[in-house]
Amino acid sequence: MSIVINHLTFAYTQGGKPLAPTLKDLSFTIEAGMFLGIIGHTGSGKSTFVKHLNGLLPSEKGAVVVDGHDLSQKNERKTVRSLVGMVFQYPEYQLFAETVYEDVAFGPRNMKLDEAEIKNRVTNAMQLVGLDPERFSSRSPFELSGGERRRAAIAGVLAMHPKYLVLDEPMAGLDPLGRREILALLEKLRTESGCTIIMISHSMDDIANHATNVLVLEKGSLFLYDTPQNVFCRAQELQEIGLSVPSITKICIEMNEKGIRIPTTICTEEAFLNWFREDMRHA
Amino acid sequence: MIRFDHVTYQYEKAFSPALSDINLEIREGEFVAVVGHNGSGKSTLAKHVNGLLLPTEGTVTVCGMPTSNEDDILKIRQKVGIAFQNPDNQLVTTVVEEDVAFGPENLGIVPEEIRTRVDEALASVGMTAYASTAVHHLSGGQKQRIAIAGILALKPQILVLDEASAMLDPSGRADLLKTVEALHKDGMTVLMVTQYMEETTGCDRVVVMKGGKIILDGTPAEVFKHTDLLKESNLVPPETVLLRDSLRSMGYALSDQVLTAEQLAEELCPLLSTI
Repeated sequence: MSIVINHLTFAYTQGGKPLAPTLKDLSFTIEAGMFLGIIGHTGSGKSTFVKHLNGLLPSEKGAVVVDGHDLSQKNERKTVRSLVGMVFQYPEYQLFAETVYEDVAFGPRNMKLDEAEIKNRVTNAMQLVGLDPERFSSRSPFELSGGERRRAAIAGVLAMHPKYLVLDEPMAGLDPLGRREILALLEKLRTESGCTIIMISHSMDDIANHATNVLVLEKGSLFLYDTPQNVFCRAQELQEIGLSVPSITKICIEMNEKGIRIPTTICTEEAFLNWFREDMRHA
Repeated sequence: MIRFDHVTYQYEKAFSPALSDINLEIREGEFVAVVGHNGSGKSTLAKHVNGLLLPTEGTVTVCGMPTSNEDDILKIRQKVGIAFQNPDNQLVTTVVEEDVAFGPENLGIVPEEIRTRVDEALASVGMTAYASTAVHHLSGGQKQRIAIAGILALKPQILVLDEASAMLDPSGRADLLKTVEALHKDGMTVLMVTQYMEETTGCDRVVVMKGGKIILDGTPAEVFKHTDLLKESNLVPPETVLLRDSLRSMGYALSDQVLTAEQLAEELCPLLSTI
Protein backbone atom coordinates (compact mmCIF):
# COMPACT_ATOMS: atom_id res chain seq x y z
CA MET A 1 0.00 0.00 0.00
CA SER A 2 1.52 3.27 -1.07
CA ILE A 3 1.20 6.45 -3.09
CA VAL A 4 3.46 6.23 -6.13
CA ILE A 5 4.40 9.48 -7.82
CA ASN A 6 5.87 8.90 -11.23
CA HIS A 7 7.42 11.70 -13.32
CA LEU A 8 4.83 14.20 -12.14
CA THR A 9 5.08 17.58 -13.88
CA PHE A 10 2.56 20.37 -13.56
CA ALA A 11 2.20 23.93 -14.81
CA TYR A 12 -0.53 26.42 -13.98
CA THR A 13 -1.97 28.33 -16.91
CA GLN A 14 -2.58 32.02 -17.32
CA GLY A 15 -4.86 33.24 -20.11
CA GLY A 16 -4.83 29.75 -21.59
CA LYS A 17 -1.04 29.61 -21.79
CA PRO A 18 1.03 27.40 -19.49
CA LEU A 19 3.32 29.22 -17.03
CA ALA A 20 6.73 27.88 -15.99
CA PRO A 21 6.17 24.47 -14.38
CA THR A 22 5.40 24.49 -10.64
CA LEU A 23 6.26 20.79 -10.31
CA LYS A 24 9.08 19.25 -12.29
CA ASP A 25 9.42 15.54 -12.89
CA LEU A 26 8.74 14.30 -9.36
CA SER A 27 9.22 10.57 -8.83
CA PHE A 28 9.09 8.90 -5.43
CA THR A 29 6.90 6.68 -3.26
CA ILE A 30 5.06 7.50 -0.04
CA GLU A 31 4.75 4.25 1.90
CA ALA A 32 1.69 3.58 4.04
CA GLY A 33 2.43 4.20 7.72
CA MET A 34 4.89 7.02 7.16
CA PHE A 35 4.74 10.40 8.84
CA LEU A 36 5.98 12.41 5.89
CA GLY A 37 7.02 16.00 6.49
CA ILE A 38 7.12 18.21 3.42
CA ILE A 39 9.34 21.27 3.57
CA GLY A 40 10.39 23.85 1.03
CA HIS A 41 10.77 27.57 0.61
CA THR A 42 7.66 29.66 -0.13
CA GLY A 43 6.71 28.96 -3.73
CA SER A 44 8.60 25.66 -3.92
CA GLY A 45 5.44 23.80 -4.96
CA LYS A 46 4.47 22.13 -1.66
CA SER A 47 0.78 23.05 -1.74
CA THR A 48 0.53 22.41 -5.46
CA PHE A 49 2.06 18.98 -4.95
CA VAL A 50 -0.32 17.82 -2.23
CA LYS A 51 -3.32 18.87 -4.32
CA HIS A 52 -2.26 16.13 -6.74
CA LEU A 53 -2.60 13.44 -4.09
CA ASN A 54 -6.37 13.24 -4.42
CA GLY A 55 -6.78 14.59 -7.90
CA LEU A 56 -7.76 18.16 -7.00
CA LEU A 57 -5.24 19.15 -9.63
CA PRO A 58 -5.02 16.88 -12.67
CA SER A 59 -1.80 15.02 -13.32
CA GLU A 60 -1.40 15.82 -17.00
CA LYS A 61 2.17 14.68 -17.26
CA GLY A 62 3.23 11.76 -15.13
CA ALA A 63 1.12 9.73 -12.77
CA VAL A 64 -0.08 9.62 -9.18
CA VAL A 65 -1.20 6.14 -8.16
CA VAL A 66 -2.85 5.68 -4.75
CA ASP A 67 -3.07 2.05 -3.59
CA GLY A 68 -3.16 0.98 -7.22
CA HIS A 69 -5.73 3.59 -8.30
CA ASP A 70 -4.35 5.79 -11.06
CA LEU A 71 -5.59 9.37 -10.67
CA SER A 72 -5.28 10.07 -14.38
CA GLN A 73 -8.34 7.82 -14.75
CA LYS A 74 -11.31 10.06 -13.99
CA ASN A 75 -13.41 7.16 -12.71
CA GLU A 76 -10.75 6.40 -10.09
CA ARG A 77 -10.85 9.86 -8.48
CA LYS A 78 -13.87 9.15 -6.33
CA THR A 79 -12.22 6.05 -4.87
CA VAL A 80 -9.01 7.94 -4.20
CA ARG A 81 -10.86 10.79 -2.51
CA SER A 82 -12.26 8.34 -0.01
CA LEU A 83 -8.71 7.15 0.69
CA VAL A 84 -6.97 10.51 0.87
CA GLY A 85 -8.32 13.11 3.30
CA MET A 86 -7.24 16.68 2.70
CA VAL A 87 -6.93 19.39 5.35
CA PHE A 88 -6.16 22.72 3.73
CA GLN A 89 -4.48 25.76 5.24
CA TYR A 90 -6.80 27.45 7.71
CA PRO A 91 -9.45 24.71 7.33
CA GLU A 92 -11.68 26.45 9.88
CA TYR A 93 -12.59 28.97 7.17
CA GLN A 94 -14.47 26.13 5.52
CA LEU A 95 -16.75 25.43 8.45
CA PHE A 96 -20.26 26.32 7.39
CA ALA A 97 -22.93 24.27 9.14
CA GLU A 98 -25.07 25.49 12.02
CA THR A 99 -23.66 23.00 14.50
CA VAL A 100 -20.35 21.25 14.97
CA TYR A 101 -22.16 17.91 14.63
CA GLU A 102 -23.63 18.82 11.25
CA ASP A 103 -20.32 20.13 10.01
CA VAL A 104 -18.44 16.96 10.92
CA ALA A 105 -21.31 14.87 9.50
CA PHE A 106 -21.15 16.57 6.11
CA GLY A 107 -18.55 14.21 4.62
CA PRO A 108 -20.02 10.93 5.90
CA ARG A 109 -23.47 12.10 4.78
CA ASN A 110 -22.13 12.66 1.26
CA MET A 111 -20.81 9.13 1.38
CA LYS A 112 -24.47 8.03 1.72
CA LEU A 113 -23.87 6.24 5.02
CA ASP A 114 -26.85 5.48 7.26
CA GLU A 115 -27.67 7.77 10.20
CA ALA A 116 -26.38 5.34 12.84
CA GLU A 117 -23.02 5.01 11.11
CA ILE A 118 -22.83 8.77 10.58
CA LYS A 119 -23.49 9.36 14.27
CA ASN A 120 -20.89 6.78 15.16
CA ARG A 121 -18.27 8.36 12.94
CA VAL A 122 -19.02 11.94 14.04
CA THR A 123 -18.80 10.98 17.70
CA ASN A 124 -15.53 9.12 17.18
CA ALA A 125 -13.97 11.89 15.11
CA MET A 126 -14.93 14.54 17.68
CA GLN A 127 -13.49 12.42 20.48
CA LEU A 128 -10.29 11.90 18.51
CA VAL A 129 -9.69 15.63 18.08
CA GLY A 130 -10.55 16.27 21.72
CA LEU A 131 -13.94 17.94 21.27
CA ASP A 132 -16.30 16.29 23.76
CA PRO A 133 -19.38 15.34 21.67
CA GLU A 134 -21.75 16.09 24.54
CA ARG A 135 -20.42 19.57 25.03
CA PHE A 136 -19.72 20.55 21.46
CA SER A 137 -22.17 18.73 19.13
CA SER A 138 -24.94 21.30 19.22
CA ARG A 139 -22.74 24.38 19.40
CA SER A 140 -22.14 26.66 16.46
CA PRO A 141 -18.63 26.25 15.03
CA PHE A 142 -18.34 30.02 15.11
CA GLU A 143 -18.57 30.11 18.91
CA LEU A 144 -15.45 28.01 19.29
CA SER A 145 -11.90 29.22 19.89
CA GLY A 146 -9.41 29.21 17.04
CA GLY A 147 -7.82 25.92 18.11
CA GLU A 148 -11.21 24.26 18.64
CA ARG A 149 -12.43 25.42 15.23
CA ARG A 150 -9.31 24.00 13.61
CA ARG A 151 -9.89 20.66 15.33
CA ALA A 152 -13.56 20.63 14.34
CA ALA A 153 -12.52 21.11 10.71
CA ILE A 154 -10.03 18.25 10.98
CA ALA A 155 -12.72 16.06 12.59
CA GLY A 156 -14.83 16.55 9.45
CA VAL A 157 -12.05 15.00 7.37
CA LEU A 158 -11.35 12.21 9.88
CA ALA A 159 -15.02 11.21 9.88
CA MET A 160 -14.51 10.01 6.32
CA HIS A 161 -11.91 7.51 7.62
CA PRO A 162 -9.08 8.39 5.26
CA LYS A 163 -6.10 6.04 4.99
CA TYR A 164 -3.87 8.93 4.06
CA LEU A 165 -4.29 12.26 5.78
CA VAL A 166 -2.78 15.25 4.00
CA LEU A 167 -2.39 18.49 5.95
CA ASP A 168 -1.17 21.79 4.56
CA GLU A 169 0.40 23.69 7.47
CA PRO A 170 -2.10 22.43 10.04
CA MET A 171 -0.48 24.42 12.88
CA ALA A 172 -0.32 27.80 11.14
CA GLY A 173 -1.72 30.57 13.28
CA LEU A 174 -2.28 28.36 16.33
CA ASP A 175 -0.65 29.09 19.65
CA PRO A 176 1.97 26.68 21.03
CA LEU A 177 -0.60 24.68 22.97
CA GLY A 178 -2.86 24.39 19.91
CA ARG A 179 0.15 23.26 17.88
CA ARG A 180 1.05 20.57 20.38
CA GLU A 181 -2.55 19.34 20.45
CA ILE A 182 -2.61 18.93 16.67
CA LEU A 183 0.75 17.14 16.64
CA ALA A 184 -0.35 14.80 19.43
CA LEU A 185 -3.51 14.05 17.45
CA LEU A 186 -1.51 13.20 14.32
CA GLU A 187 0.81 10.90 16.29
CA LYS A 188 -2.21 9.18 17.80
CA LEU A 189 -3.86 8.70 14.41
CA ARG A 190 -0.74 7.20 12.96
CA THR A 191 0.05 4.84 15.81
CA GLU A 192 -3.50 3.82 16.74
CA SER A 193 -5.32 3.66 13.42
CA GLY A 194 -2.33 3.30 11.12
CA CYS A 195 -3.26 6.45 9.20
CA THR A 196 -0.44 7.73 6.99
CA ILE A 197 0.31 11.39 7.71
CA ILE A 198 1.52 13.75 5.00
CA MET A 199 2.15 17.18 6.49
CA ILE A 200 3.47 20.43 5.06
CA SER A 201 5.11 22.43 7.81
CA HIS A 202 7.45 25.35 8.22
CA SER A 203 8.53 24.22 11.66
CA MET A 204 11.76 22.27 11.39
CA ASP A 205 11.54 21.43 15.10
CA ASP A 206 8.11 19.85 14.63
CA ILE A 207 9.30 17.89 11.60
CA ALA A 208 12.42 16.68 13.44
CA ASN A 209 10.33 15.55 16.41
CA HIS A 210 7.54 13.80 14.52
CA ALA A 211 8.30 12.91 10.91
CA THR A 212 9.67 9.52 9.88
CA ASN A 213 10.58 10.85 6.43
CA VAL A 214 11.14 14.29 4.95
CA LEU A 215 10.53 15.51 1.42
CA VAL A 216 12.34 18.70 0.48
CA LEU A 217 11.03 20.55 -2.56
CA GLU A 218 12.99 23.28 -4.29
CA LYS A 219 11.51 25.23 -7.21
CA GLY A 220 9.19 22.33 -7.98
CA SER A 221 11.89 19.66 -8.03
CA LEU A 222 12.68 16.94 -5.54
CA PHE A 223 15.71 18.19 -3.61
CA LEU A 224 15.96 15.58 -0.86
CA TYR A 225 13.82 12.65 0.25
CA ASP A 226 15.21 10.88 3.28
CA THR A 227 14.97 10.46 7.06
CA PRO A 228 14.97 13.65 9.16
CA GLN A 229 18.50 12.78 10.37
CA ASN A 230 19.88 12.48 6.85
CA VAL A 231 18.05 15.58 5.63
CA PHE A 232 18.85 17.97 8.47
CA CYS A 233 22.56 17.12 8.64
CA ARG A 234 22.82 18.82 5.24
CA ALA A 235 22.41 22.24 6.83
CA GLN A 236 24.51 24.13 4.31
CA GLU A 237 22.49 22.92 1.32
CA LEU A 238 19.21 23.59 3.10
CA GLN A 239 20.33 27.09 3.94
CA GLU A 240 21.21 27.73 0.33
CA ILE A 241 17.61 27.03 -0.66
CA GLY A 242 16.22 29.25 2.08
CA LEU A 243 15.48 26.61 4.70
CA SER A 244 16.69 26.37 8.25
CA VAL A 245 17.44 23.34 10.43
CA PRO A 246 15.98 22.27 13.79
CA SER A 247 17.24 24.07 16.93
CA ILE A 248 19.04 20.96 18.14
CA THR A 249 20.87 20.55 14.81
CA LYS A 250 22.00 24.18 15.10
CA ILE A 251 23.47 23.45 18.52
CA CYS A 252 25.33 20.39 17.15
CA ILE A 253 26.77 22.49 14.32
CA GLU A 254 27.93 25.19 16.76
CA MET A 255 29.52 22.53 18.97
CA ASN A 256 31.41 21.04 16.04
CA GLU A 257 32.75 24.49 15.22
CA LYS A 258 34.09 24.59 18.76
CA GLY A 259 35.79 21.24 18.34
CA ILE A 260 33.25 18.90 19.96
CA ARG A 261 32.59 16.11 17.46
CA ILE A 262 28.88 15.51 17.98
CA PRO A 263 27.13 14.01 14.91
CA THR A 264 25.02 16.61 13.07
CA THR A 265 22.45 13.91 12.31
CA ILE A 266 21.19 14.57 15.84
CA CYS A 267 18.06 16.71 15.49
CA THR A 268 15.93 16.05 18.58
CA GLU A 269 16.47 16.74 22.27
CA GLU A 270 16.08 13.04 23.01
CA ALA A 271 18.83 12.05 20.58
CA PHE A 272 21.03 14.84 21.90
CA LEU A 273 20.67 13.75 25.51
CA ASN A 274 21.22 10.10 24.50
CA TRP A 275 24.46 11.00 22.80
CA PHE A 276 25.41 12.90 25.90
CA ARG A 277 24.88 9.94 28.18
CA GLU A 278 26.89 7.75 25.79
CA ASP A 279 29.66 10.32 25.56
CA MET A 280 29.79 10.61 29.34
CA ARG A 281 30.32 6.85 29.57
CA HIS A 282 33.24 7.03 27.19
CA ALA A 283 34.78 9.83 29.21
CA MET B 1 6.67 56.62 24.57
CA ILE B 2 3.75 54.23 25.04
CA ARG B 3 2.10 54.06 28.40
CA PHE B 4 -0.67 51.78 29.65
CA ASP B 5 -2.13 53.07 32.90
CA HIS B 6 -4.50 50.67 34.69
CA VAL B 7 -5.97 49.54 31.38
CA THR B 8 -8.92 47.18 31.41
CA TYR B 9 -10.70 46.15 28.26
CA GLN B 10 -13.89 44.16 28.06
CA TYR B 11 -15.24 42.88 24.73
CA GLU B 12 -19.00 43.09 24.48
CA LYS B 13 -20.75 39.98 25.76
CA ALA B 14 -17.47 38.51 27.04
CA PHE B 15 -17.54 36.89 30.48
CA SER B 16 -14.18 38.23 31.62
CA PRO B 17 -12.09 41.20 30.51
CA ALA B 18 -9.53 40.63 27.74
CA LEU B 19 -7.16 42.99 29.54
CA SER B 20 -7.34 43.57 33.24
CA ASP B 21 -5.52 46.41 34.97
CA ILE B 22 -2.50 46.52 32.66
CA ASN B 23 0.36 48.84 33.56
CA LEU B 24 3.12 48.98 30.99
CA GLU B 25 5.57 51.58 29.84
CA ILE B 26 7.53 51.25 26.62
CA ARG B 27 10.39 53.66 26.21
CA GLU B 28 11.56 55.28 23.00
CA GLY B 29 13.78 52.96 20.98
CA GLU B 30 12.88 49.84 22.95
CA PHE B 31 12.28 46.49 21.25
CA VAL B 32 9.62 44.73 23.30
CA ALA B 33 8.14 41.30 22.59
CA VAL B 34 4.72 40.38 23.93
CA VAL B 35 4.00 36.66 24.19
CA GLY B 36 1.04 34.69 25.48
CA HIS B 37 -1.30 31.86 24.58
CA ASN B 38 -4.39 32.37 22.41
CA GLY B 39 -6.84 34.51 24.31
CA SER B 40 -4.19 35.86 26.71
CA GLY B 41 -4.94 39.41 25.57
CA LYS B 42 -1.72 40.10 23.67
CA SER B 43 -3.44 41.10 20.41
CA THR B 44 -5.98 43.17 22.32
CA LEU B 45 -3.05 44.96 23.92
CA ALA B 46 -1.47 45.63 20.51
CA LYS B 47 -4.71 47.07 19.15
CA HIS B 48 -4.75 49.62 21.97
CA VAL B 49 -1.47 51.20 20.89
CA ASN B 50 -2.96 53.03 17.91
CA GLY B 51 -6.47 53.39 19.28
CA LEU B 52 -8.09 50.62 17.24
CA LEU B 53 -9.48 49.63 20.60
CA LEU B 54 -10.06 52.08 23.42
CA PRO B 55 -9.74 51.06 27.07
CA THR B 56 -12.94 50.30 28.98
CA GLU B 57 -11.09 51.65 32.01
CA GLY B 58 -7.73 53.37 32.35
CA THR B 59 -5.74 55.22 29.69
CA VAL B 60 -3.26 54.49 26.91
CA THR B 61 -1.01 57.37 25.94
CA VAL B 62 1.30 57.49 22.92
CA CYS B 63 3.94 60.26 22.96
CA GLY B 64 1.89 61.94 25.65
CA MET B 65 -1.37 61.83 23.67
CA PRO B 66 -4.23 59.76 25.10
CA THR B 67 -5.74 57.43 22.48
CA SER B 68 -9.19 58.31 23.83
CA ASN B 69 -8.80 61.88 22.56
CA GLU B 70 -10.40 61.93 19.10
CA ASP B 71 -8.43 65.02 18.04
CA ASP B 72 -5.14 63.20 18.54
CA ILE B 73 -5.99 59.87 16.99
CA LEU B 74 -4.79 60.75 13.48
CA LYS B 75 -1.49 62.01 14.88
CA ILE B 76 -1.14 58.80 16.87
CA ARG B 77 -1.83 56.65 13.82
CA GLN B 78 0.87 58.47 11.86
CA LYS B 79 3.32 57.55 14.60
CA VAL B 80 2.18 53.95 15.05
CA GLY B 81 2.25 51.49 12.16
CA ILE B 82 0.58 48.16 12.82
CA ALA B 83 0.86 44.90 10.89
CA PHE B 84 -1.57 42.04 11.43
CA GLN B 85 -1.47 38.30 11.05
CA ASN B 86 -3.46 37.82 7.87
CA PRO B 87 -1.93 39.71 4.95
CA ASP B 88 -5.00 39.16 2.78
CA ASN B 89 -6.88 41.59 4.98
CA GLN B 90 -4.23 44.27 4.61
CA LEU B 91 -3.56 44.50 0.89
CA VAL B 92 -5.82 46.90 -0.97
CA THR B 93 -4.61 47.14 -4.58
CA THR B 94 -3.73 44.64 -7.30
CA VAL B 95 -0.05 45.40 -7.94
CA VAL B 96 2.70 45.18 -5.31
CA GLU B 97 4.22 48.65 -5.66
CA GLU B 98 0.81 50.30 -5.84
CA ASP B 99 -0.07 48.63 -2.59
CA VAL B 100 3.07 49.87 -0.86
CA ALA B 101 2.42 53.36 -2.26
CA PHE B 102 -1.20 53.40 -1.07
CA GLY B 103 -0.43 54.79 2.40
CA PRO B 104 2.01 57.55 1.37
CA GLU B 105 -0.36 58.58 -1.48
CA ASN B 106 -3.14 59.06 1.03
CA LEU B 107 -0.87 61.32 3.06
CA GLY B 108 -0.41 63.53 -0.01
CA ILE B 109 3.33 62.95 -0.32
CA VAL B 110 4.97 64.10 -3.59
CA PRO B 111 5.42 61.36 -6.24
CA GLU B 112 9.26 61.39 -6.23
CA GLU B 113 9.31 60.89 -2.48
CA ILE B 114 6.73 58.11 -2.79
CA ARG B 115 8.95 56.35 -5.36
CA THR B 116 11.93 56.48 -2.98
CA ARG B 117 9.89 55.26 -0.03
CA VAL B 118 8.37 52.39 -1.99
CA ASP B 119 11.77 51.27 -3.28
CA GLU B 120 13.32 51.43 0.18
CA ALA B 121 10.42 49.64 1.82
CA LEU B 122 10.42 46.84 -0.78
CA ALA B 123 14.18 46.45 -0.44
CA SER B 124 13.96 46.16 3.34
CA VAL B 125 11.50 43.27 3.10
CA GLY B 126 13.43 41.63 0.26
CA MET B 127 10.66 42.02 -2.34
CA THR B 128 12.25 44.45 -4.81
CA ALA B 129 12.01 41.89 -7.61
CA TYR B 130 8.25 41.71 -7.18
CA ALA B 131 7.51 45.46 -7.52
CA SER B 132 5.26 45.03 -10.55
CA THR B 133 3.86 41.59 -9.69
CA ALA B 134 0.12 41.11 -9.23
CA VAL B 135 -0.65 40.76 -5.53
CA HIS B 136 -2.84 37.69 -6.03
CA HIS B 137 0.12 35.80 -7.49
CA LEU B 138 2.05 36.07 -4.23
CA SER B 139 2.15 33.42 -1.54
CA GLY B 140 0.90 34.18 1.98
CA GLY B 141 4.40 34.91 3.21
CA GLN B 142 5.19 37.23 0.34
CA LYS B 143 1.92 39.10 0.86
CA GLN B 144 2.82 39.65 4.49
CA ARG B 145 6.15 41.18 3.54
CA ILE B 146 4.31 43.55 1.19
CA ALA B 147 1.89 44.51 3.96
CA ILE B 148 4.86 45.36 6.17
CA ALA B 149 6.53 47.31 3.36
CA GLY B 150 3.31 49.34 3.10
CA ILE B 151 3.66 50.29 6.75
CA LEU B 152 7.37 51.10 6.46
CA ALA B 153 6.56 53.44 3.56
CA LEU B 154 4.60 55.54 6.07
CA LYS B 155 7.76 55.99 8.16
CA PRO B 156 6.18 55.35 11.54
CA GLN B 157 8.11 55.90 14.80
CA ILE B 158 6.52 52.91 16.45
CA LEU B 159 6.07 49.60 14.69
CA VAL B 160 3.54 47.17 16.13
CA LEU B 161 3.63 43.63 14.76
CA ASP B 162 0.56 41.63 15.73
CA GLU B 163 1.73 38.07 14.97
CA ALA B 164 2.93 39.37 11.63
CA SER B 165 5.35 36.48 11.17
CA ALA B 166 2.84 33.72 11.90
CA MET B 167 2.34 32.89 8.23
CA LEU B 168 5.94 33.25 7.05
CA ASP B 169 8.33 30.40 6.32
CA PRO B 170 11.54 30.16 8.38
CA SER B 171 13.69 32.23 6.04
CA GLY B 172 10.87 34.75 5.60
CA ARG B 173 10.53 34.94 9.35
CA ALA B 174 14.28 35.33 9.80
CA ASP B 175 14.33 38.05 7.12
CA LEU B 176 11.45 39.86 8.78
CA LEU B 177 13.11 39.64 12.19
CA LYS B 178 16.35 40.94 10.69
CA THR B 179 14.40 43.78 9.06
CA VAL B 180 12.73 44.64 12.33
CA GLU B 181 16.04 44.48 14.21
CA ALA B 182 17.62 46.83 11.65
CA LEU B 183 14.69 49.25 11.97
CA HIS B 184 15.07 49.08 15.73
CA LYS B 185 18.80 49.86 15.45
CA ASP B 186 17.88 52.94 13.43
CA GLY B 187 15.75 54.10 16.33
CA MET B 188 12.33 52.54 15.70
CA THR B 189 10.38 51.60 18.79
CA VAL B 190 9.05 48.07 18.23
CA LEU B 191 6.26 46.18 19.94
CA MET B 192 6.17 42.64 18.60
CA VAL B 193 3.33 40.29 19.52
CA THR B 194 4.34 36.73 18.74
CA GLN B 195 3.73 33.10 19.62
CA TYR B 196 7.25 32.09 18.67
CA MET B 197 9.30 32.41 21.82
CA GLU B 198 12.52 31.78 19.93
CA GLU B 199 11.94 35.10 18.13
CA THR B 200 12.14 36.98 21.39
CA THR B 201 15.66 36.05 22.49
CA GLY B 202 17.16 39.10 20.75
CA CYS B 203 14.66 41.62 22.14
CA ASP B 204 15.40 44.14 24.86
CA ARG B 205 12.44 42.98 26.87
CA VAL B 206 9.85 40.21 26.92
CA VAL B 207 6.36 40.69 28.36
CA VAL B 208 4.44 37.47 29.06
CA MET B 209 0.65 37.63 29.24
CA LYS B 210 -1.85 35.18 30.66
CA GLY B 211 -5.58 35.68 31.12
CA GLY B 212 -5.42 39.41 30.39
CA LYS B 213 -2.65 40.08 32.88
CA ILE B 214 1.10 40.53 32.64
CA ILE B 215 2.75 37.67 34.53
CA LEU B 216 6.39 38.26 33.58
CA ASP B 217 8.24 41.33 32.31
CA GLY B 218 12.01 41.42 31.95
CA THR B 219 15.00 40.71 29.74
CA PRO B 220 14.87 37.44 27.79
CA ALA B 221 17.38 35.89 30.22
CA GLU B 222 15.18 36.84 33.19
CA VAL B 223 11.96 35.62 31.58
CA PHE B 224 13.38 32.29 30.38
CA LYS B 225 14.50 31.44 33.90
CA HIS B 226 10.86 30.65 34.54
CA THR B 227 10.35 27.75 32.14
CA ASP B 228 7.87 26.04 34.46
CA LEU B 229 5.71 29.14 34.72
CA LEU B 230 5.84 29.54 30.94
CA LYS B 231 4.73 25.94 30.42
CA GLU B 232 1.90 26.42 32.93
CA SER B 233 0.83 29.43 30.88
CA ASN B 234 0.54 27.18 27.80
CA LEU B 235 3.68 28.59 26.27
CA VAL B 236 6.53 26.57 24.88
CA PRO B 237 10.00 27.91 25.66
CA PRO B 238 12.53 27.67 22.79
CA GLU B 239 13.96 24.16 22.22
CA THR B 240 17.41 25.50 23.11
CA VAL B 241 16.17 26.70 26.51
CA LEU B 242 14.46 23.36 27.18
CA LEU B 243 17.68 21.53 26.31
CA ARG B 244 19.60 23.94 28.55
CA ASP B 245 17.31 23.01 31.44
CA SER B 246 17.68 19.27 30.74
CA LEU B 247 21.46 19.61 30.71
CA ARG B 248 21.34 21.61 33.92
CA SER B 249 19.40 18.85 35.59
CA MET B 250 22.18 16.49 34.47
CA GLY B 251 24.61 18.66 36.37
CA TYR B 252 26.02 21.03 33.76
CA ALA B 253 26.43 24.55 35.09
CA LEU B 254 24.88 26.57 32.28
CA SER B 255 23.91 30.19 32.96
CA ASP B 256 20.59 31.98 32.42
CA GLN B 257 22.24 33.81 29.51
CA VAL B 258 22.03 30.63 27.42
CA LEU B 259 19.14 31.27 25.01
CA THR B 260 20.53 30.50 21.55
CA ALA B 261 22.40 27.63 19.91
CA GLU B 262 25.55 29.73 19.83
CA GLN B 263 25.41 30.62 23.51
CA LEU B 264 24.69 27.01 24.48
CA ALA B 265 27.67 25.71 22.52
CA GLU B 266 29.81 28.52 23.95
CA GLU B 267 29.14 27.53 27.56
CA LEU B 268 28.79 23.78 27.08
CA CYS B 269 31.95 23.01 25.10
CA PRO B 270 34.44 24.16 27.79
CA LEU B 271 32.54 22.00 30.32
CA LEU B 272 32.93 18.98 28.07
CA SER B 273 36.62 19.35 27.38
CA THR B 274 37.36 19.29 31.10
CA ILE B 275 35.56 15.97 31.66
